Amino acid sequence: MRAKSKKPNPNPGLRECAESRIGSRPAGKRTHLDPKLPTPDRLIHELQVHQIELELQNTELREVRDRMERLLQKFTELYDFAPVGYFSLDEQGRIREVNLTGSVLLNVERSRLIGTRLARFIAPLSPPVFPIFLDRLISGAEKPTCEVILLKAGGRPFWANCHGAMAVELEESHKVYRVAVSDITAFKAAEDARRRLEFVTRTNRELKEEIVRRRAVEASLKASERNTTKLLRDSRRMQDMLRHLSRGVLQAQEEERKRISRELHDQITQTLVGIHVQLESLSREASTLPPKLRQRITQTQRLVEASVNIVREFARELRPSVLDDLGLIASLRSFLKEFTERSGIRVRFSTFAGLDQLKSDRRIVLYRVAQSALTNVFEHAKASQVSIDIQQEGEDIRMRITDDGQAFNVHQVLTDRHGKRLGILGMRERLEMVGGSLAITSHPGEGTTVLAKLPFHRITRPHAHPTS
Amino acid sequence: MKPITVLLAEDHTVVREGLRALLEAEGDIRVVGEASTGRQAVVLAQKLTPNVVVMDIAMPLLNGLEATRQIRKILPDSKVLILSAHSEEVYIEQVLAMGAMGYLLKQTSAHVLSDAVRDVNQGKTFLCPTIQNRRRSAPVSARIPLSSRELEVLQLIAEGHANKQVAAELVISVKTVEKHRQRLMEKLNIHDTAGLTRHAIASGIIESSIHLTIT
Repeated sequence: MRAKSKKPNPNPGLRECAESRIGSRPAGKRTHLDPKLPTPDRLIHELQVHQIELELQNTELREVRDRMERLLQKFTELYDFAPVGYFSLDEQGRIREVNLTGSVLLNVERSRLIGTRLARFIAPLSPPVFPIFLDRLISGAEKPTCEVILLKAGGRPFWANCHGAMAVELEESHKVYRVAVSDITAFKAAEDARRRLEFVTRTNRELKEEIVRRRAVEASLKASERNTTKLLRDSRRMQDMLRHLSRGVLQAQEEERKRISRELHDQITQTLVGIHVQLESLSREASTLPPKLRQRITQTQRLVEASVNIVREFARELRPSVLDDLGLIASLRSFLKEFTERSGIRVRFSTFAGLDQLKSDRRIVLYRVAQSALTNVFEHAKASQVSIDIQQEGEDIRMRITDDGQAFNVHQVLTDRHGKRLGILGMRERLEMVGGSLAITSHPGEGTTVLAKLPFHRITRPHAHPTS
Repeated sequence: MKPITVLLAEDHTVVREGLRALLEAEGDIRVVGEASTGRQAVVLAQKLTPNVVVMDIAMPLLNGLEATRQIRKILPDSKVLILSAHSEEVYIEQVLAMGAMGYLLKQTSAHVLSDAVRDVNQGKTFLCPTIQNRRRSAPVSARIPLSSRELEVLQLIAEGHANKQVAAELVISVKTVEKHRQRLMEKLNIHDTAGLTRHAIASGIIESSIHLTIT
């Protein structure tokens, strides 16, 4: 600021102010100023005024400077302690200026940041949006923003929000771009938490729906289980009924066989024998008869004999009378002898004398089981030897039939729906009917063993013909 | 000569009457009583002491087997001749063991009844010709001549011995046994061990094929 003398005073207030101050100066030097006086006094006066003017201006300037300094300090404080980091970047993205918050954010001294590319602090995991942001900033886009993960020196990453601002001329021909960076980790975390909460809420809702759905499924499962249980129970009952029925059938069959066998034996055989005997009498009296007739009588007798044999064989197949007449040992012996003659398979038979005390209905069971087992041996096993061992074992009778032939797959045979089951079910059924059980083991190289067990129920009355 | 006294125990009237007629036709046999149950047979036997009791097995109240046992006990001298429709050997064994003297198959009894009565009266055992024939009968293959060595081998095989055991028993080599076995099979036209065993039993080379143990 320069003082003006000859020129018209741009600040007329200043002169007035200076002139008023002359009057207040010490008296000795004060001269009453007559404007018309072109004297040295007048020149002195002018100089005094000018001096005062200068002093005034100086004071004013000092005050302005002080105010300026105060403002600058205020600005610096505002700039440095702003809640966001301010980065001024050049066109290459290098940091030209940074406030204190910025350097704190990155945990790097300000002086060391200058000249460094801000992109250096982008974490590798960050979304790759910073270069785009920078491009937009430089190309003058209006307020570009981006969210990136920055790495503090020392390694801790944080979410940062970058706001681009207008370009500013810093020096000649050097533009800088202001970027405000704020740490939004907390915000991000909150957002994450919110998102998680949302997710949890959604999951929760889905779970609830799932629970409802599952309950429905469970309910229907329970219903179907109840249904299945009922079906199972029904099927068991049916099975029991069937078993009962089949046992009934077996028993009835056995009784019926016995009855028919008896009938055949007592009625048919006897009648045929009667006819035979009558024919014999007739032919003896026949000395008076023509020889041709006698011959006819003899032929008829042969026919009758053949008929008796057929009927007898049939009756025997239905029910071996030996079983009732001579007991189990004798009938097994008879059966085994015939079996050997028919099959060529050698038989060993060991038992105990008390066996014939076995009740009649159990005798037939053991007999039939032995018959079935041996039929299997003959038809399937290709055995050369078979042994039957019947012994008392505590309160049970145990019959073991072992052959040295080919083994078979017991399970497969038992579960074969279509094929023959080798009469095993029949054997088992007969045994279970009288409280017994059946077990079959068959291993290649060891042949087959049929093991039958049943409680030893003895006949109550003394045996018809005890072996004494 | 004193006629042979006979008690007829048979529950079937037609048969009983027919048999009576047949026996009566013989001059030396006299039917002194008839019974239709086993119990009646025992009572009448004790009362009439006949020489011979002709006894049916299947009779009501007390069967012929038990009646036989009781009669034999009371009258040890009486001879029992069993009549039966059963031809199983066990029956024959059983009745003979009980002291019966004879066994007749009903269906063929008419021809031989009187001969049987005479035989048992003399203390001879009488078995029905059919049974005796069967006991003696042999299959066609039995008529095929085998060398004595072959017969030996056949018997041992049928008895269940392995080639090695047969060789040891006959002091010949296993190879020779195999040769014999081969020849046997060719001659008899039987090609398995079971068949050879069957043949041996049927032709009487081995006797009983059941190995029986009663304790």
